[in-house]
Formats: sequence, structure tokens, C-alpha cells
Amino acid sequence: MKRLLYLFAFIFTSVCCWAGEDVTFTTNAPDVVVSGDQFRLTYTVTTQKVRDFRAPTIKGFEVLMGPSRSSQSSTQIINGKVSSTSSITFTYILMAEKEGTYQISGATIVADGENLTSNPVTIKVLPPDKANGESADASNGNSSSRNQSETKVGSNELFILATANKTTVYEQEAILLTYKVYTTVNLTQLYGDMPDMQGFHSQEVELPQQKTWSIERYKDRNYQTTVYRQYVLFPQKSGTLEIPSVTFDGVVTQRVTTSDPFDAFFNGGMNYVEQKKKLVTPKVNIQVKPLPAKPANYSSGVGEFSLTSSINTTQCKTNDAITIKLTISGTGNMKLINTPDIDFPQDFEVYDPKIDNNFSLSRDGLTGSKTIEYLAIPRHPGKFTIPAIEMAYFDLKSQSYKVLRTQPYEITVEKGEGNAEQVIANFSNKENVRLIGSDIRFIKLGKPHLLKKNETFFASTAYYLWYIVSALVFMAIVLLTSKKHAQNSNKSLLKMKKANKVAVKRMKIAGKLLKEKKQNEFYDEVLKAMWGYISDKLSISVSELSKDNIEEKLTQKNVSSAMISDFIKVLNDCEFARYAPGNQTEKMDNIYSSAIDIISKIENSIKH
Amino acid sequence: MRKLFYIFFIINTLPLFSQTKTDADSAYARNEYQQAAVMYEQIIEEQGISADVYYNLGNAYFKQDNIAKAILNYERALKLNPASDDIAFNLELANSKTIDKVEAQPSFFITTWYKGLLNSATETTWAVWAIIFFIIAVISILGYLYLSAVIIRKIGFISACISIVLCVIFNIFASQQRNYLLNHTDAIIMEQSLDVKSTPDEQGTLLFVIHEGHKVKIVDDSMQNWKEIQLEDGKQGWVKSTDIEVI
Repeated sequence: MKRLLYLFAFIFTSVCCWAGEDVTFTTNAPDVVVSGDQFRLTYTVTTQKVRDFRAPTIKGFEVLMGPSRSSQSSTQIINGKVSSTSSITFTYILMAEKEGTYQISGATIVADGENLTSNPVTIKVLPPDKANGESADASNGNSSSRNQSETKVGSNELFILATANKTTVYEQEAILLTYKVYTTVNLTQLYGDMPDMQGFHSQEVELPQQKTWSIERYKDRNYQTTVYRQYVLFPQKSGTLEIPSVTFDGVVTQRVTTSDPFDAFFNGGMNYVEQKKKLVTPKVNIQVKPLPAKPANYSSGVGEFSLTSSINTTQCKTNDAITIKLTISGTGNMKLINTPDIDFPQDFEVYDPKIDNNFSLSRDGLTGSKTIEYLAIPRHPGKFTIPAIEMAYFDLKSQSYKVLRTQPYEITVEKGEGNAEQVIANFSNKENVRLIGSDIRFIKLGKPHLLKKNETFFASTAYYLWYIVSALVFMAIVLLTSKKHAQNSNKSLLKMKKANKVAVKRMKIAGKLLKEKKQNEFYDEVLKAMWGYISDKLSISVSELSKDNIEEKLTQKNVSSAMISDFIKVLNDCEFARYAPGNQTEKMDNIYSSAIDIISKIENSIKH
Repeated sequence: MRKLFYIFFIINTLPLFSQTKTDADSAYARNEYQQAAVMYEQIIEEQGISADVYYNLGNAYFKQDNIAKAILNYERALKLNPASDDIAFNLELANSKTIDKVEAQPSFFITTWYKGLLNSATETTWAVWAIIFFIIAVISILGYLYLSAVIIRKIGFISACISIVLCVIFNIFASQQRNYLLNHTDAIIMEQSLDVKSTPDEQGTLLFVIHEGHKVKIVDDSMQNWKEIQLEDGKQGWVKSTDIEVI
């Protein structure tokens, strides 16, 4: 129930407001008048249904006429749509009496059953021009002065003033430079070149094409004034900067009365003469203070700004675009603010930011907003942080640097389905193209031979054991065989030991052969026994033996030369006897006994 | 009652802890790659390492599109068994899926040839060959010493010389392979995208960015949380030790 009530109340009030907005009640009057001038004060209400118009008491002015009521209505039909406007205007004609500033409070009226109050107005009344004497009618006075002044227009009748709203500013602080025309004559044309302002960044304020003239008192004289040109200047360097004087060309139309009757007849006695006049504006000096030491992230902004940022998404897939919108709004040298850089993660493909300027000139500089859109495309998945954007500017109010900061963004990038990164990678990598469509090889089945981490065979105990064991085996074999070898090396000794036995054996055979009287075989056996004996004894093979080296070797073995010669003699006798003809039984006995004798002798002499 | 329950629980869960490679292999064959990977990891954790297990684990990760872990395990497998063709092939395939282009520095052909020879067998194989040649050398020396036939003695002498030289060479190979196996100086980038800083600090200047699966060399291992890494083209920088995995 209660809610319903609220709803009704809401609808009702909103309707009321809507209806109330439709009807306006305004007061209109000039801002400045010269005393003695007549002027109109009008109250306009935009409806026909009015009653109870109550004008306020008008102090300081003489009401010459009024209130006179006039009504207006118009109906328009555009494409079958009917719209009609209607208004009622109450007009007073007033005359200013005394100089000063007067306020006329608003009038009240009941329009469409509602009480309306119009806006109050302030009217400044200026004293009349002294040059025009005490003439009550200012306009008449003006025209008469024009009549009289056939001569040149004086510099105090038409001039242009250049004024700056500030003369001591900081670098980049906006200055409003106004060229204002003051005239008491009929100025019809005015042209001039745009001043060349060095050291400033200037922007012209667009003024309405139709100049509105107003009266202003300057140096005890009432002038028609209008703002001719207006510039907003941003000083680019510190020091004393000069706005140079500018020359404008003005054309003044003057009415000249002539005494020529013909002229008077055809032109009504009036003639208009155009007169050119050069208007030189004064120089303006501006003191520009340098900005204090600039902070690191100074954006070269001077004024008053605010910074907001927004992001389109914080969760996206690879190759989806991320847009960060940064809005710098405020008043100051908006145009010269550097675009802040965003430290996008390196994996992002960053495009040039799109800058959208939306500001207008105002007295304090450029007002509005600058929207910067950063576009970045993450190419790889992962978690990324886009850091906060910091922008420092010089705040004119506090005359210090202020830092604006946005919040950082955490972005989670997932792997996109398109997997463009591989496509990209393929262009640069020929190998990938070859491998497309292939797959990894299959796993290895079967029982693994599991090892411990960092376990190696090399330098392990088993490894060393192999070497040690094989080395030991080697040494064992060497040790074992060295004895055998030693014995082997005594083989000749053995032979030497056995030599006598062999010789004895052979001599026994020779003895048998002697009894059998086998002459040749006997000698053979004896020679074999002797040669074999000496070969074994000297460790020289039989083939290498000769009588010469026997002698030599036996001498080395300390066998006496007599024995050696005996031995050789027996050998010689043997060989000699062997090929001798006839029976030699006796000789054989001799050789047999002497061979045994010499062998036993040598055996005794080579004893170990 | 509760104790009984616990016991029952433990008994039930016990088989899970002692995975066998056959189970994991069959999980892989059933295309249950995630499960297979978990099982292989458990085998490595609890039972020991093997080139085959690492290789299979790498395959399981590869099938899950986890390229970084696949490369890591392939590299580990290749370290244990550098001669394996399959491992090298799969590693190359996995490497081709990484983002960064790996530009290997050109090396002298002898170095390449030597590396190829060195990697044609594992450390154990080289060590075993060295032992075999040592034994051959011993036998040859014995033959030389104790056999009387001149030809056999000559052969024994020559074979002893050759065997000793080979034994020394193979031992050098084995020792190098062992050093490579024990020196954990290579690592794989595990982060999808990793900022490499100029100093071991978060605030350090960003030098370059590398992506997952990239093999890097650890140059400075002295810090706990940060490691200095070097790329194959010589670039150096610091990364957090949690972002890389040592092979």
C-alpha cells in the first residue's frame, strides 16, 4: 500500500515538474545604460493563460510607459506534427535618472495556475559623456557629434585594447587575451592579421559572428564596446614574454552634411564618407614563472585534471582484444598533455592508442575530456598484471604537482581455441611444418630397470671392484707364474745337471757298441755324447755349436785351457778315426776312455 | 571399530601407493593420460628413476598438452639414456610446440662429432666397455708374457696397447657422462610466460621474456629463490627458482 502511495507521489511530482518546466517567466533588460537613456524592461511568459501580473517596484528609474501587454502565438505544422508556442510580454519603457547600479527584483505572475517569479536584473547606469554636453538625448548627441566631426577620427574615439586576464602565470597556464574595440563612432569594418605570438601556444576563441555591442565607461567616456577577438594562450617557456602590438585596419563611416544644394537635393543633404583608421594595440607583457622541478611521470599537464580508467574485460582468451579506456578530464592545457604509456606485459601485442579529444576553449584553457583507448592483444596464456597508470600534473590551485593514479588490472588469459600462436610460430619455423600431423612415439612397455637418483655405475663400488678383481687376478697369475718362470729359467741349469747323466748314458751305449765293434756307430755315439753334453752344459743349442765358440764359452766358464784342448783333441780324434780305414779297436778303446775322462774332468771344473 | 576402519582404509589405499609401471602403461594405453602421469610420478617418487619411466611420463604430459613438463621429462629421460632414438624424436616434437625459437649456436664439427659419440652410449655402457677392455688388456699382457709363440706374443702386445688406450678413453667417456648426469645445470621454464630480470629482484629491469618449455642453463645457483639463467644464444638474466625446473 505504502509503496503504491510512493509510486503515485513519484508520478505526480514528475508530471508536475515536467509541466512546470514548460512555462518560463523571464526578465530582459540591458546591462548598462547611460543616464538619460531610455530603455526597455520586458517580462516574457511563455503561456497565454496568465493572471495577476505584479511588477516589482522599480527604483532609480523613471517609468515612462507601461506595462503594455502584447501577446504572440505561432503554430507550426511540420510533417503533420503540430507544435504551437505562445507568449505574453509585458513591456516597460524606463529612463535612467542617476548613475549607479540598480537591481530590479523579479516580477510575479500566475501562469497556468502556478505562481512564477522572474529573474532579477542588475542595471548599471553610467554618467553621460561630458563631450556631449548636458544633452539628455544621448543618441541625438552622438549623431550631432558625428555631424560636427568631419575631421579625422581621434584616437580616443576609436581604439582597441588588448587585455590579458592574468599577467603573472606559470608555464602552460592558460591566459585569456581579449582584443576589445572601444568606439564612439560608427565602425563598419575592422580587419587585421592574427597576432604572431612567439613563445605561446595560442587558440582563438570562437566568438559569435554577430557582434553584440554594449556600453562601457572608459576614462570618463561612454563607449560602444565589443569583444573583437579572444585568444587563449599557453606560455611555452618561462621568462617575460611579450605579446606584440597588433595593427588593425578600421573603416569608419561618417555622415557629412554638405552645403552643396545639388548634393543636398539628391542625397538629402547627407553624405557618408568612409574613413580608414589604423588601430594599434598596446603591447602586453606577461611574466611566466617556470614550473618547479618536474616529477618523473610528469605529463606536462598544467591545470586541474582527473583520471579514470576502465577495462573491457579481465578474463579473456588468447588473441582476444583488451581495451583500456583512459579518460583525462578537467581544465588546462589538455591539448599538450602527453599520452600516458601503459606498461603492458611484454607478451601483449600493443597497438597505437586511439585518442579522442573532446574539449572546448574556456577562459581557463581547454575544458573537457581526452579519451585514450589502448588496444592490446594477449598472444600467450597466463596471468598478467597491467600496472597502474600514473600521471602527474601541475595543479594551479595548490601550485604543486599532483599525481593521478588508476588502479592496476589483473588479467587472466586462457588459451584460446583458435591457437593462433602456433600458426604464427609456423611461419618462422620451417621444421614445424614438416612435423605437422606427426605424433609422438609410443611409450616403452616392459619392466623398467629402476635406479636411484644420481646413481651411476661409473665410480661406484662395483665399478672399482671390477678393476680391483681383474688387477688382483693379473697379479695372482704373475705371482704364480713367476715361480714357474724362475724354475723355467733354471731349465738350463737342470740341463747342465742332467748333462753328465746324459753323457754317461750315451757313453754306456758307446761302450756297448765298442764291444760289438761297430766302429761307425760307436764314433757317432761318442760325438753325440760330447756335443750334447757341452751343448747342455753351455745352454747352447747343438746347431749353434762349433769348436771355436766351445773354446770361448768354456774359457768364460773358467775351464783350464789344457782341458779345453784335450776336449777338442778328443773331438778331433773321434772325427778323424771315424773316417779312417782299417780296424781300430785299440784306438776306439783309447778314445772311449779319454772321452769319459775329459767329460768327468769338465764336469768337475764347471761345478755350481 | 574406528581402528578397524582405519586399517581397512589403509589396506584399501595401499595398492594406490605402490603403482607398477604396467598399471601406468595400461592407463596410458586407455588414453587416461592424467592418471598415467600421476602413476608414473609416483613410481619416480617412490621406487626410482629410469629413462623409460621418464619417457612415458613425458608422453603422458605431452598428450595432456603440458609441453613444459613433457620436455622436462624427455630431457630427464635423454639424460639417462642419451642414445635413445625415441626420446630424441619425441623431445624434438615437443620442442617444436614451444613458443620461443631455439637457435642453437653453431659448434665446431669435431665437437658435434665428439658429442654424438659420447651420447651414443650411457655412462654405464661406457664404464662396462672400459672394464671389458681392461680385462682384455690384462689377458693380452699375460699372453705376451707367458706365451712362447712369437706371433701370439706380438698380437698380445698390440692388443694390450690398444686395450689400455681404449680403456682410458672409455673411462673418460664414462666419467663425462657421469658428470653430465650428476650436474644439474640445465633447467626448463615452467611458467607459460616468464619475465627475465636484470637483478634477482622483482623490481629489476625486464630484460626479455621466455615461454614455457624453453631449455636454459643455470649459471648462478648460489641463491635460494633466484637463479641466474643463460639462453643458448648467451643472454643472461635472473628468474625465480619456482618458475623453472631443473632437469
